Amino acid sequence: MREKIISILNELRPEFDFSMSNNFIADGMLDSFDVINLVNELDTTFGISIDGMDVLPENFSSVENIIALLKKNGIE
Amino acid sequence: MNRLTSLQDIQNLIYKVREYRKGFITNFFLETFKHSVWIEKKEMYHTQIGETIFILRKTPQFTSLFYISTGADSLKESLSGLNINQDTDCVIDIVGNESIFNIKSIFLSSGFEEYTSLHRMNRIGALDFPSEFLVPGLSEACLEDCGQIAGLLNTYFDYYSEQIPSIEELEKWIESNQILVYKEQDNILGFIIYELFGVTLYLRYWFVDPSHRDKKIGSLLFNYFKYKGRETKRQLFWVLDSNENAIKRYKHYGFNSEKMFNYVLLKKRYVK
Repeated sequence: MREKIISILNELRPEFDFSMSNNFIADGMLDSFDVINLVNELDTTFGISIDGMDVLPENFSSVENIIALLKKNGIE
Repeated sequence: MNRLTSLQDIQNLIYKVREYRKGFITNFFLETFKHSVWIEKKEMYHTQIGETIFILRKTPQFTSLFYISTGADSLKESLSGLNINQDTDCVIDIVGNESIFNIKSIFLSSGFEEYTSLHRMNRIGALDFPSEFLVPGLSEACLEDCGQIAGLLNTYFDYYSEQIPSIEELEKWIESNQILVYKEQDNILGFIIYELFGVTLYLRYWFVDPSHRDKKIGSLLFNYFKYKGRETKRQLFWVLDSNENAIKRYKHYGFNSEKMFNYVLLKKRYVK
């Protein structure tokens, strides 16, 4: 799951090394537009529909937070 | 049409559309401070038609339209049922990559006309700045400059396509030292407004008074801007497609055009 997430992030913003950041939002690597695209990519890749209440920047601020969100949606 | 009273209301609208679990498209990208100001000023409304939620920002000048929908087909269907009380012009910004072309067509076939278009330019890498960047006349803006900057924005920028900031946003940027000015005898002859988010630097507005454009004020401001963003790794801004001179200038500074588009569509107000 981790590799898939990193691959999605790299495709979204190839100019950044996401392994160097603990907070993609605060570090300016993802903005609100990227978050919407990321939600759509995660939905498609993992065959889920992330709950609308979870579409908050903080849930996409690190690979760990994204993993937690996916687990909440039944992805192991 | 219901008035939005909090950011949580917006989150609830997103939740509603995502609950359909059919897809998610939008041109509404939450900016906490800006949208809080709009809500506080009682400018934001929403209505649901089918699987689409329309958000409207009503100002005395014009109405901005936003959508949150499950997909292009449902947006098209919902749009046919949208009845905006058109006492002002209605503007929509359709923002995204190539995937938005069909969304643009939907609005064009619903009475909107293409007003203008922009695209995003970016530059990847550290910014070099000259050692003598801080010259007399250049400074960070102070709160007393706010009125003058607002006046210049309202005079020289297009309010349909350039998203002129509110006084509250200007004050916030001034307080966080994100407005640079060039002054002669207290008159602002040029300014740059930028936003710094970690490694990303957004150039929002870059202006030089037309009657002083032979003094290289733009370059002086830009050098100061580069110093301010010296630790960033990506620099971004939107430029009007029609502004060929500016695009050339930006390319000279190392910026490249991205495949990120913003189509500004307009529905003129209904004249009785």
